[in-house]
Formats: sequence, structure tokens, C-alpha cells
Amino acid sequence: MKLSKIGQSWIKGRSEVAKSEETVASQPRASHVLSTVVGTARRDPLRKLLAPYFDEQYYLEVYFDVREAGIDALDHYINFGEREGRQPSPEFDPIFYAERYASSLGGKKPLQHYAMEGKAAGNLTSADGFDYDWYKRVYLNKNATNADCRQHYLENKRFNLLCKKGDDAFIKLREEFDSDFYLATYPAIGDLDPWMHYVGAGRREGRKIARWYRDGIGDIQKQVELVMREAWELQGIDLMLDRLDISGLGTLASSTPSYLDASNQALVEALNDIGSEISSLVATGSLGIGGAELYGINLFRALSKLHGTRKTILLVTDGERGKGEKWLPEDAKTLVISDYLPDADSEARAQFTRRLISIVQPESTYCVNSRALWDVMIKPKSAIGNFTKLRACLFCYDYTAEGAPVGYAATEFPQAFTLIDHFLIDNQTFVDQLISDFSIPANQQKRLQVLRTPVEQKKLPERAEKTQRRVFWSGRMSRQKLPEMIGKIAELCPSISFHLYSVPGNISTESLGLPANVKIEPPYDPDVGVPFEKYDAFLYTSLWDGIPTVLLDAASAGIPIVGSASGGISEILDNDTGWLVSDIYDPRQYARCLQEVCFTSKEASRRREAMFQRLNTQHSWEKFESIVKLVEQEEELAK
Amino acid sequence: MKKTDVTAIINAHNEGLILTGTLKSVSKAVQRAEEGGLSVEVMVVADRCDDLTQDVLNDFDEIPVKLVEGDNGDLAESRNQGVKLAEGEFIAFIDGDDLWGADWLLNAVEAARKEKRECIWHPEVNLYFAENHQWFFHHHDMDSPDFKVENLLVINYWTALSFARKKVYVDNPYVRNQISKGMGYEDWSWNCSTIAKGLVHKVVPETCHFVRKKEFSLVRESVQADVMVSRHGLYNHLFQDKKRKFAKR
Repeated sequence: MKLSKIGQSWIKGRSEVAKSEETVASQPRASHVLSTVVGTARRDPLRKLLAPYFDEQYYLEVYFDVREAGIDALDHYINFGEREGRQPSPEFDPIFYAERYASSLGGKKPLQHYAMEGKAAGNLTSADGFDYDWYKRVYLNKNATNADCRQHYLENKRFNLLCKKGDDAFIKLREEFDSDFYLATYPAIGDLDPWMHYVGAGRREGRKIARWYRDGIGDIQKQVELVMREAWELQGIDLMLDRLDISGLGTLASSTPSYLDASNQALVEALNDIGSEISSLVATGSLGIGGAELYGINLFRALSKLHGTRKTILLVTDGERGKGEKWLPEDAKTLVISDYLPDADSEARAQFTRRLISIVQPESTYCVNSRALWDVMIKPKSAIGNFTKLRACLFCYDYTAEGAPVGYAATEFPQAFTLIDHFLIDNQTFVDQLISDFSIPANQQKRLQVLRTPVEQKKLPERAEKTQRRVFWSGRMSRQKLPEMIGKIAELCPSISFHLYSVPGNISTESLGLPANVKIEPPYDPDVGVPFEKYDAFLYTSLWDGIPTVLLDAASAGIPIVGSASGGISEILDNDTGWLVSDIYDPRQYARCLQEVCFTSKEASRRREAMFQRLNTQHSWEKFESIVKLVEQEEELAK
Repeated sequence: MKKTDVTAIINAHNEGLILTGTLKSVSKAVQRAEEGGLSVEVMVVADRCDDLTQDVLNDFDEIPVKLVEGDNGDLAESRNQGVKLAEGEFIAFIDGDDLWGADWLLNAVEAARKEKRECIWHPEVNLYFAENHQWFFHHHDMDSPDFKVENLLVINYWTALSFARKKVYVDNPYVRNQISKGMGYEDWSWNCSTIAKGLVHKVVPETCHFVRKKEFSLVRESVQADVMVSRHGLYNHLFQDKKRKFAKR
């Protein structure tokens, strides 16, 4: 049952109780005894009110921890039981009642409300949810009453094996079910009722219900007799067959594709959820708010526009759903492996990805920092290239503390180069670097295609004259983003106020020893963003990069930018469109540029306009979409 | 001249002495079929056979056998080669190390002639046998209410020892295995492709096959090499017409 917010707050603490019931419900809780003594006197009027609706015998029978603790049943209900979601009688479900009449409880407890007002108003007392006919035929008999069903359910539900409604196939299976066989075959079920175990768990686990019956197979006894007969007829023609113990055939195991193991079941569920032909699949590692994830989603959007949303899918291979989901269109097909195989390790995720692609056979598959898909693509015999055209997106290297390049571009790229027909790279600088580092032959270089992150085009925002000289810095608190430069720069600019919007990383702001003119703002929240309009300039420091999204966002918001000349940044930021700092470790260069931005407003205005112009030329959606289209059509890609 | 009802195609490679059992089981099934009034052609496609297998074939004289030399190095291509040369209205495949139940051919023809749809037929049950281990593999009938066609996307339902009208095999040739390139399971791929073409897989009631599990087999090699099922169109066939709304989790 899904609880409303009010229902949820009322039922606080229930989950812990439920867990304890699952294990050993009979352990008395001594603390209850002590508390009850205190509560009894105070609650006498309440006891009187509730007593007519409280079934003590039922309560003690069902909740045997209460019985064994020797506690007064009604007191237990008042003090703990109701809060824990226990039922005072088979007919009254306090969870259902609290949710159903949440708006009228007015601070009263469910049974109290029912006794005082609800009964007179004809309120319902339980959600029911029974398919009585099904329940009777599966667990009881056709002559049982609805009340018998409820009673049976309440008495046995603690085993978590009962269903109130279900598959008609169970009705047929019950006729075949052999309790003795089941118990003998699966002694680990202990004292549980064999049939209830089968309905609640055994069928899902593919357990056998009788020696001579296999679900969906037919008459196993007849089949065994048939095989015996035929094997007998073949006597003398094959010695190995002759050596078979024909009399033991009845005990042999059976295999059938009716029941799937967890990975196959997950795959079938995923395929059913996709449920349509797929032209393009974008595989991304996670669905967070990083630049790569945004790039993947932009790619997904462009492909959806080209092929239609029904025929495009975003596959999240390594992580969970995240805040990046908000960037997706409402009708986007998003498949998250963790939804199907939450505990899968990296090998299982790679296998799931590989098999899914081989079955769905999208015309094209794009890898955007998907660990699972890279793992598949680097194996020469993965055969994945036989099922789809593979493309991979790259941005920049990462670097070790010693300065050695690492990451997909450094390690997986050369291994998978043959298999992947196009690489989409968000900056030309990195294309040139890869060509140089791997000596890529001239006739292969066209497979490396620049595809710059698109930016929504809008009018250049007007900016009021700023008098407070405020600058903001935004980035992950990690070695890559050079956060240690902030304090050094701020010390050189005492008349400028610096505001830090950081994304948490492995460096703490406290460890930076920042001067007084640096203000730490709350951690960057993509839902809130940065109030660009409050600032004179954006300071971006970085040791390596592609073209960072935050820089494009700042440029799009029309704010002057001072940034490090690293990676692909200089393709958008130069001394015409902003202030590019060539020596990324020199705080004086940054400080000089910031002084110029803050105190020469005319030049700042000119450069931000030039930046906006460049943005529209290089990072337009039209350009992004046209390149994606060309890649999809595999035309000769012009640089 | 009486027309041939069935061509039994035995695919042989390096089975050696084991092939004798297969030939004898085929002989028994042929004898039973002929007693039932059927005319059966027996063909062995000997694909790059070793000398011993060739000798076994040469010496076998229980029934007339049409011997076809193959140079395919592949079971799928060998089956296709056999199909081209088959004269029967129906074709029944068997690999050179497996055994048919004696009633297989007779019952399969009877079932196929009763059925108005174009179907592919399989035995009801298989006994997999090795020296110290046996188990049953039950075949599913697509007409059964329990049959879940989408499971075929992730697991194979039927062995390669199928029976169908010759036209079915002519129109739907097997796809060559390319184990070294990571592609295989020609029978699984074929089962998927035929369903995608609208054909129905059914079981012949009360029939069985005996499938030998060897230390080395194509299936085992495929599993060890972690190959994928060769391309087929089943997924698109199942989902092309469904206007499903994607269920967000």
C-alpha cells in the first residue's frame, strides 16, 4: 500500500517492527512491559472507548510476541500496536484508515476516530484488496466465506507469503500440488505451509510441485514412460544409452525455458519495457548533472528528433537515476540497468548491455562515458559491432597525480578504435591531440568528429552597471579545477568580492585557507543554478578540460569570463570573447584580467557580446543536430 | 515413381564410432516410417569428415544412404547443403551423435499432415545423456497458453533436430556460425528468424530424442567463447506493431 504523507508520518517506526516480525516475531520486547504500566492509568477513558472495537483474542493470537510478553493486549495496541500498523481486529486496518481519512482525523488515532465519528459516518475499515474468488480457490475452498479469507490472511500474513489476488494459473497448479513431495524436496522451508510457500515464493523460484508435474510442460509421467519405452527400443544400438539406469528416469531433473534466471528475467522485463523498434541507443554511465551526462542527453534529444522518441532510448548502465533526469523530455525512453539488476557488478552490467544491444539491434549506439559499454567494446570477440554501428564520445584525458593521461580516451579509445566507426569529441583541440598522440593515419582521421555541446540560443541578456565588484567561481572541488588558485587570486584583488559555488569533491573548502573576500555560497545546486546577473565576472580555473558546460552557461547568460587556457577552452574563450589566462598557475594574470573586467565596463561589454556571437556560431542547436544527422547518415563528414 | 515423403539428413563431421548409433537409430525410425507407408530418403552430409567417420559411413549397409561430401566447416552450411539436395516433401535433421526415438519420423509426418498451418516440429521431450549425467529438456509448443515467445530472446526453446516441409528450410536457410568472431547458435537464431517470419513451432506428441552431451561440442564451444546469437529479426517482429507507452520505473 502506498501511504500518503500523513499516513507515512503516523506510521513512523513501523518498518523496524515489520523487520523483527520477519525474523523471530516471538521475542518479547521488555521495554513494552515497562511503558505499559505507565500508560494504562492515563488511558482508561480511551480503553473504554476502544474496547468494543478491540478483539483481544484475535490480537494475542496473531501477535504472539505480545502474548508471550504477557502484556495487556489493548494497552499494547494503544501504546504501540496501532502506531506499528497492527490490527485491533480482522476488520480494522489502521494503516488503511489513517490514509483514507487522513484529512478528517484531526489529531485522533485511527481506531479512536472510528469509535468517535467514523462508525456513525459509515467509514470503511480496511482496504480489502481481496479477489475473494481467487483467494478461496487458491488457499481455502469454494465454500469459504469472505470473512474466512480475511481471517486466514490475517492469521498467516506474518510469513509474507500470502497474496490477496493473483494469477489464475495457481488455481490449476493447486490441483497438481503435492505437499509431501514439496516438503521432502525442499526441507529448508521448515514449518511453513508448503502451498503458501509455493504461491509466495516457490513458483517464482521455479520449484517443482510434484514428482510427476512440471508447470507448462505437460504430463511428465507420460513423458518419462515414453522415454523409457523408446530407450528400450533402442537397446543394443548405443552402448552409452544402454548403460542408462532407465528405472531412475523419474528422478531426473528437467530443464525448460519457462523459468528464467534473474539476469534473463531482468533482460526480458527490460525488453518488454522498451517495447518498440529502436533506431538509436545512447548509453551513459549515470544520470547525474555532469557535463558528460548533459552531452549524452543532448545527443539523445537530437537523435529523438531525428528518429522519434519511440525509436530512441537512453540506457543508463552503471549508476542510478539522478538529477540529470530533469533534462530529459517527458516521454523519453530511459532504461536504467539498476532498476532491473540493482546488485549487478560491472561484469553483469556489461553482459546485460551487450545482450540487450544484440537483441534490440539499434541501427546506431552511442557510448557516453558508459563503463559497461566500453567494457564490451574493447573485447575483440564481443561481436557487438555485428548488431549495431558503434559511436563513442570523448572529451579530454584525465590525469594521474603524476601527470600521466588516463580515462577512456587514454586507455579504451586505442583498443576499440577498429570497432567504433565514429568518435564524437566536444572540442577540436582534443581531436588534434588524439591524432598526434596515437599517430592516427590521415585516412582514418575523419572518424574523429568535432561535435560541440549545444547551447539554447536566446537574446543576449541586458546587464545593469555593477558597482559591487563581485566575481563567482564554480566547479568541482578537485585537483582538476585548481581550487587552490581562488585564494591566491582573491588576495591580489582585495576590492573584489569572490563567491564560491562548489560541487563537492575530494578537496574541502576549509582546507584552502581562503581570505576574507571569498564567500562560500551553498554547494552548487542545478535546480537553483547560479544567479549570474548578480556578478561582474565568472572566474574559471582548470588544469585540463574539454569545453566545460558551466563556461557555456556563463557565456550564454552574457557574463564576462576569465578562464584558464586548458583543453578546449581556448576554442570559445580568447582575448576577443573574454580573458584567457595563458599561465594557468599564475594568480597575477587572473587578477589583472579580473581588474580589467570589473573596472572597464565598456570592454567587458564588448567582449561578452563577441562571446555571445561565437556561442551562436559554434554551439548552436542547429549545428549540433546537423552533425548528428550527418553521422547517422554516415555521409562524408566535412570539417 | 513414388514421391519421397521425407529426407532424413544426418550431419556428420568427426563422430567416428559414435556415428554408428545415430545411423542405426535413423534406420529404425525409417523402418518404422516405411511400415507406415512412407518413403524416406536418408542423406549424410559428411562435412570435412575424418577417416574413421568416413569408414563408418562406407561400411554402414543397413539402409541405402545418399552420401554428400561437404567442405563447409560449419553445421549451418552443411544443413543448407543437405536441404538443396533433398528430394523429400519434408526434411528431418539429426546430428551425427544423437538418436531419434523410433516413432519420430512416422509421428512427425502424421502431425504435419494434419496441421493446416506451416509449422516446424520438435519432439515432446529430449533426454540429454552423458556418461554420468542425464536430464530432460522439455520442448514447448507455441500453441500452449504457457508459451512466452519473448523468452526466446534470452534462452533457446528447441534443439536443432527439427522437422518441417522442405520449403521452410529453403526459404529460411541457417546462418553460418562464426565462433571466432563471436557469433553462433545457428539453431537458436533460426528458431527466432522463423518465428519472425510467422512460422509456428510445435511439438509432436509422444515423441522423444536422445541428445548426447560430449566433452566437446559446438554448443559447448559457443558457451566457452561467450558467443552471441547470430542476427535475427525476432525482437522487431514482436514489437514493431505494439504502440506501448514506455513504463517509467
